[in-house]
Amino acid sequence: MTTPFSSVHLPLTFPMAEKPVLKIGFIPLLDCIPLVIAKELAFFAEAGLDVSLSREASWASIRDKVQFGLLDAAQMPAGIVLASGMGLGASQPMVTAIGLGQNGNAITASNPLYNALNPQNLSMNSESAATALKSYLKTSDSELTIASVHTYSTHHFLLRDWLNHYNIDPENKIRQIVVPPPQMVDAMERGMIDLFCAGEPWNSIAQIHQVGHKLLSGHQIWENAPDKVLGVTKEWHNHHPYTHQRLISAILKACLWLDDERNKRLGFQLLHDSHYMDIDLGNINLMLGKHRFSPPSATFPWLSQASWFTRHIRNLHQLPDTETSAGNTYLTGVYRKVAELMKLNTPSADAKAEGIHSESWVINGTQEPIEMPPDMRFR
Amino acid sequence: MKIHVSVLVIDEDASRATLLEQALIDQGYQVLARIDSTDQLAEHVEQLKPDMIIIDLESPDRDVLENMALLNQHSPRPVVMFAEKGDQTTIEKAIRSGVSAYVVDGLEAHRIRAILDVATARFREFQTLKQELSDARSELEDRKVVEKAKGLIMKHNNCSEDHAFKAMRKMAMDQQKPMYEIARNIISVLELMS
Repeated sequence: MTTPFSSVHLPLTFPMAEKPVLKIGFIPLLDCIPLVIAKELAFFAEAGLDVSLSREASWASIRDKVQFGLLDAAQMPAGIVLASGMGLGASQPMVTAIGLGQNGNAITASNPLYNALNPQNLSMNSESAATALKSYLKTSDSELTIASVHTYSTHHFLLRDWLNHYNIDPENKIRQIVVPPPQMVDAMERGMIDLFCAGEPWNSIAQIHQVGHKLLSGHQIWENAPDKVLGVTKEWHNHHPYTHQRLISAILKACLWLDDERNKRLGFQLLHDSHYMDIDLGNINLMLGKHRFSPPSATFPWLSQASWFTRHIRNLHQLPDTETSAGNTYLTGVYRKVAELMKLNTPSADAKAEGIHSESWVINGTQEPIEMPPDMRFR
Repeated sequence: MKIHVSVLVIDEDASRATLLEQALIDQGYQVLARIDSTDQLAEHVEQLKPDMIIIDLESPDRDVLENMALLNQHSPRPVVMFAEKGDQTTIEKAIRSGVSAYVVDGLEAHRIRAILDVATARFREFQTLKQELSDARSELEDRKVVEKAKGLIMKHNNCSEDHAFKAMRKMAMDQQKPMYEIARNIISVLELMS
């Protein structure tokens, strides 16, 4: 039995927020929804916080504004936060204590490339798509241009994971670039990129505009893969520990609310009708990205997932492959503290086995066993 | 004296970019190019090899520059990354004004500061200009509304212009509302009646 949603509250005895008026940054992607729900359903207000959500144009802008205090917190790819803890890509370390969901990514191929890779339009898996790409690269004279949205984004790492796993050298006959999501479909239409990996709604938009075709969904590379987190600077966290906890409680409540297919549909509809997205979502099937927000499996800052990101970051920079703990960046203790106050179940361990479960499985929890979704790699 | 720092200005707002370019040239900097479309941005940067890039903080293309900075040590890196302590205020001011910058390794701190100051000042000046323009526009709109209301009163009450204006001013004072608001109310009421 999971805790009924209506009985989830932050206790009245909880210490006051050091800073009750907050500005939180987000990028208009479908996975900004936990923040939008926390705001629109007044879960932030319930936690005693007056939050305004600020739509941002790039991850670089989010980083700068969080680092210089123009934003208190923001939605960020886990990789950006973890890299900052390794002294990369930011001037001061950032931390996170809550994940903002799983899935929502896909790899889209341009029409010409898709037709070459999958002329009969059969359903593909990560192996058949890789085999097709390999033989295409062997016979083709030209270089393929592959785009992702940020060097440290989950998409970039999923893409590299997939290529590496099937022994496709990402440096040979492949040029990897970064293209901002709003320009992705246009860049593909003009023949500047052949393949991209991005979050929804961009894969759906490419398909609807008949510019490209989805080659693989993110889950075919890593089922229920983690993606964005709520990032703050370590300094901000140290100065506002209770504000941070209240913030997490509101977002946890939003994720609990979204852990219900009907609510999720309603939530996406709200996002569709609201001013948060500056994109025409038209007839896009918003459920296609298979986003998952269920606490604690999709929200706990699993150290075992952090090490997947840090391994990729080290590889990118050709740093020695020493296992460093992400415990200073992924604040599992803070998550546990908030969940305990809200009487929510948490996993007994900070890390779990990754990439070996093709079916749902069960892990020990502090209150009761937790049902975990599949986490299989390369399907 | 020519200062050998080459700057690339990237801004979709062409008029702001022109303002900034002129100011940099006046200060003796070499402006390599001014780009208002960000097509093939990475190629441009690779070709031009600027010492410093000034780009709108809100440009989505910044992640393209980030990628170059992270993966190629010769590419300009975000200034927020390696500013000495004394420069934090300069950088913060720049960020608050919507300026972001990328600089190559080895560029002296005082040069970076000087260019950032120029850019910050121009972005602010441009913001003020835009604000003044929009204020002027709405002032003009307000005046038009007042004129229209006055005309309607004159027609409806068959009175002089002076009389109509005085009537409106009295209403504004009685109700403690600005003239244009009174004018708008009058227009909606009188148009409904006619």
